[in-house]
Amino acid sequence: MSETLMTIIAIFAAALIMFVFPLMWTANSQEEISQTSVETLVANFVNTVATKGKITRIDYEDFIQKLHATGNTFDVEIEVQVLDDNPGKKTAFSSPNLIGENVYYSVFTSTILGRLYGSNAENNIVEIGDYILKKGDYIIVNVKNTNITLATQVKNFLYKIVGKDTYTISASATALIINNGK
Amino acid sequence: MKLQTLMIIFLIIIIPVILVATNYTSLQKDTIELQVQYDSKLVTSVRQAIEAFEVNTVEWNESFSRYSDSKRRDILASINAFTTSFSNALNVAGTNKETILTYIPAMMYNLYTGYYIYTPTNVPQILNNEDGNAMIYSGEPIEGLSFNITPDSATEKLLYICSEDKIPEGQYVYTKNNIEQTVNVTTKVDDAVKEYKHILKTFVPYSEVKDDIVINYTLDNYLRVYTKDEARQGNLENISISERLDGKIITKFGFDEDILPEQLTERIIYYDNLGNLCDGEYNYVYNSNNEKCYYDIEQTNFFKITNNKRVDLYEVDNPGNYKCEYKVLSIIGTDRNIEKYYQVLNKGPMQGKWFQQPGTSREVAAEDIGLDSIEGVNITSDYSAINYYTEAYIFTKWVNNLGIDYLKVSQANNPEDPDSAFNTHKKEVMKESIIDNLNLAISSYNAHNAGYEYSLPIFTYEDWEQILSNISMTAFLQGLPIGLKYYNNYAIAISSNNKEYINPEEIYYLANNDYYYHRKNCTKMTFQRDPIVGYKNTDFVPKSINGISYFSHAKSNGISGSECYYCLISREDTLESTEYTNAYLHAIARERYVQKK
Repeated sequence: MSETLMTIIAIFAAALIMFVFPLMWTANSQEEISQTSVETLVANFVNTVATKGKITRIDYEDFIQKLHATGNTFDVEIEVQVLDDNPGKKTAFSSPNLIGENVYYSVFTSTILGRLYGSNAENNIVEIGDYILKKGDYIIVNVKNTNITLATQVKNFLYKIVGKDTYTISASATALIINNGK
Repeated sequence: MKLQTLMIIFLIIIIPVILVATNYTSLQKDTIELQVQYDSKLVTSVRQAIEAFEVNTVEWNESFSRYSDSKRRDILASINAFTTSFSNALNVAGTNKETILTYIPAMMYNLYTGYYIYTPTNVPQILNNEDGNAMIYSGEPIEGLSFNITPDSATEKLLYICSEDKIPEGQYVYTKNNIEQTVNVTTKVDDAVKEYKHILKTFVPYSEVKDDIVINYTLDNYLRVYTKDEARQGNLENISISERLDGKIITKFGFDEDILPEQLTERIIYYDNLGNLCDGEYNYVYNSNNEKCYYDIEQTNFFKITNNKRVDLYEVDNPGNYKCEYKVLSIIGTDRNIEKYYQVLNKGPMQGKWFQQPGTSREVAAEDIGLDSIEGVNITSDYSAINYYTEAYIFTKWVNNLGIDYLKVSQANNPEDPDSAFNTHKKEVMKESIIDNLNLAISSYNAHNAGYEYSLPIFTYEDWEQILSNISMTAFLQGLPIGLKYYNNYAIAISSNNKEYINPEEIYYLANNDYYYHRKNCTKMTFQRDPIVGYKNTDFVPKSINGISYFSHAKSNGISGSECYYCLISREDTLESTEYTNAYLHAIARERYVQKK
């Protein structure tokens, strides 16, 4: 009787050690590699945009394609902070370091993609072209995965993660635009 | 075999594999993360270096910009900014500039007429005194210095530290930390000890030799051409003149509209003779030295701004006075050569009169040079744009006769067209020169640094477009150990705010009734009957004096004070207007003509 029990326990332990743990380890490794890969891709993309001074459709599509090549789906958010005009410009002002002098306003993903791919919302036809930036602007890219990775599925056997924004792969990068785009 | 045994054997095999694989993956991840960080830091440092260059070369503050003519000093300051920024960004214990320089095989600064390369090379070690100043022998005795054979003091000679295998000419004895030190010295460069250090090499022009003709290119259409018989310089332009060349001013150059004298205005804040701060808007012209001379209507005199102070031109009563300052007008004479006429700017009976040569009394009537046929011409009319096209026409004709195909300007080979034969050939010449010299610099760096093979990376098409179309800086960083590999990358930053190069796309336009200034062809400008005038972008940076900042072209009622949101701030594609052509032709000509070459 006890030998049968031991055999059953051994089988469970064997299954756990020989299959589940290696699977968990592989899945975690894959997730870490995807994380590193995504961080590199996002950093390269913002550096390319900062150097070129514009977001081109080719660069954007290349970026998205490489993101998806990691085997996951992603939600990409791009924000451009455009350096606004100096509010004190109309008259001489006493100090060049006035608060509010370097004002930025933000442009978000839908506007940028609308420029890259054209949009036709409310009779406001936007011409297709590169999104041109200027020196002094900032580009911020946030990427989060939207699928459930293998590692998360395995972890769900043990415990469940609930709630919004349950992403496991994310990367964020910012760059200052150093050249005026043409 | 029991299951438990199998399990244990499995564990014994798999655990080391997992450990090694995990460790390797972790190391790869760290390497990639470090590489990404270094990429960002390199780009940031190069950006800060080019900003340092702009600070030294743009007229943010007039009293500092007078030092801007020393290119080597500006570039060395910019390199210093790069190494300081990068070593601060690395934040590694013990990092200092010299350590960072070990991993920089070369840095390149592309300027308007050529480029500098900053790279390590063997240089003779100069003898420095306690204050770190180089010691020069000029025949006078120097404390601590004694010569076995007194060198010829007919010319001043730099003193070098003599190599051990050479015969020294003398000794220099000094005390350091209470210990007497003796150094062998020589005045011969060949006998000196060589040290391997980073230096800024001599300037390399964008030059080629074709059929015994030397051609020096620049970033735009300006050339210097040296033949066996003569040397000329000028701009290549695809223009035509259909008027008679009869020694009178020319305004028709084959464009839809005439090129006319301009009225240029600028706001300035300055100190007057009594030290009071004054603020006003003045018309200005460029004198024969391409300096701005502002016209004071009340005093009917021109003045210049030097060190933020107003300096009036001297009152003169005869044109032979050496204090006379002139405005220049270029005209094509009947012999098809350029003739220049000079208008006196100084207050007095001579003001406004034209002369054939400066300092002579050979006055020329305005009607004789055709100025009576142009409306609105007066003492504040600037002729720089007309001079540019007139001189460009003669120079282009001369170059066309040299018989070099890619220099023959025509409708099919327009120097303003980036794809023309002229521009294509010019870029090839520039690329070859840059690649040759960079290869030389980096491969000689290899000879002194075993352990990593430094090589010149291949630039992409976009990289070449940036380098060859702007003032730019390129920094190479190689051989920095970052875990599983060595870091190898480069970064390019271009300068859009500088006095070196007039970028045709960075000229901004004003109208008398528009609150905004615009880029070329912006459809959002408020067009009325008043003409629009263009100025280069460096005229729109804030200038400062005594803690007050102001903008040269912003009027007190707000006109022309703000950047257009559509073409300058957000750079949307509203560049479809055709109303700018005339303003562009005047502005690009004037700015190129007065640019310091």
